Amino acid sequence: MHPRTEDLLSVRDGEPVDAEVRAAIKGDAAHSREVERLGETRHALQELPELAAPDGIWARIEAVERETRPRGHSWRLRAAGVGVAAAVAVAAVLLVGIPSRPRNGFEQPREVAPGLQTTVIDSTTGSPTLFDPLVSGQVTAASYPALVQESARLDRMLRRLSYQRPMMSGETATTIAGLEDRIALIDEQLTYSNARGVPQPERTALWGERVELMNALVHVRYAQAQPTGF
Amino acid sequence: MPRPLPQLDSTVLARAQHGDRNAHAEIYGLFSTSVFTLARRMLASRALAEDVLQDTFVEVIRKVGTYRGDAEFGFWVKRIAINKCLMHLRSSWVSRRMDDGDDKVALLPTKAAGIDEQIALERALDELSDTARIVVWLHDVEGHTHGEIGRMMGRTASFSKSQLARAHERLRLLLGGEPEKVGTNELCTPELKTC
Repeated sequence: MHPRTEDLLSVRDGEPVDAEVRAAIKGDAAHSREVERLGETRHALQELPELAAPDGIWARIEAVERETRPRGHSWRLRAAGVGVAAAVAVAAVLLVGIPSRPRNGFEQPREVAPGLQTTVIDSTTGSPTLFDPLVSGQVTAASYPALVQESARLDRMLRRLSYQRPMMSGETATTIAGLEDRIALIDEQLTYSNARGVPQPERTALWGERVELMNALVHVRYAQAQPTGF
Repeated sequence: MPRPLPQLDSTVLARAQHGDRNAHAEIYGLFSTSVFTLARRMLASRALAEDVLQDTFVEVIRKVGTYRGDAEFGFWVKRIAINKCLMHLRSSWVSRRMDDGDDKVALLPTKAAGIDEQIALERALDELSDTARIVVWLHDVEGHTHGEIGRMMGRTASFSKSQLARAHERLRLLLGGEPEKVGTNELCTPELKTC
């Protein structure tokens, strides 16, 4: 009889085990050693050091708690709605403009626009602006590595913007959900692209599409996260 | 045995329940390390762990008034954090977000074995699938039973058991076996599992 890892773990944890299985484990030195090793692994996991929370999170928590506290609508919320609506409109156009890819299988590779525009945060105004990587020279071409890096950068930017989650209109929520769904779909396709042997141009096209959608999402989120006072 | 949780003074709790901001800050000071550790180890991402830390304490502040003392306060806080972690992982989009790359965290002093072994174990833990990592952490470190874990994840105790076994089999391979071959992509993105 060869006990399964589940049985060995049950013995380690003092849980009920079939008598025959227990006898097989006790009567075999290798199995007993394995139970002991599983116990050592558990101990080592428990002894991993604690991780200090990063500085500055408490201030962020207080700010988010204050800003997202349930309250009535005010003129500030209405004013903020104008900016959000503009960004949503742009994103909605993009959402319609980029053709959806089928969930299973891939379309023919499409050429990645050489003048791919993406988002940067303007250092003087602090707002995202459209940016042509070819003109600026920061990205030499819409190459695979550049697109992956750009996508990661937009992810990071979005993460910073996502800490504020104010109330939003149905239209904004729908647009955001649509963009996020499309990004999730692309991520799923990228996840399995290696296993399916998807050619490089197709993967590059997927990353290009991801960057475009992320770009739109950053703009909507940015507009949404803006302070509402004048 | 799970690490003992800090004890919250009853006067601090009473003040927090009356909206005292300083008391909220004291609660954060007491439990932020254990919540951040839990989240970082469950999610294998510093950025997501920060999200969970933030979301957890926003909820703690909002709901501290409803805490009735049925469970230890630290346990109550951790349950909120675990739920937040599970919510993050249920979101297909969020769970695939890429990390900052800068995943350095300040390790607190420990009396445990060599740092090399700990780093190796930490890395191996991060390599597990989300589900296996969560189950092994909740069971072996946080001390939850398979029944509790199954309920939290909307599955059965048997599911938790089999995931724990898978986690240990994989950990054994990662800690003692051959290093895994890295794909030939120009740029590997493990968070998206494209390599």
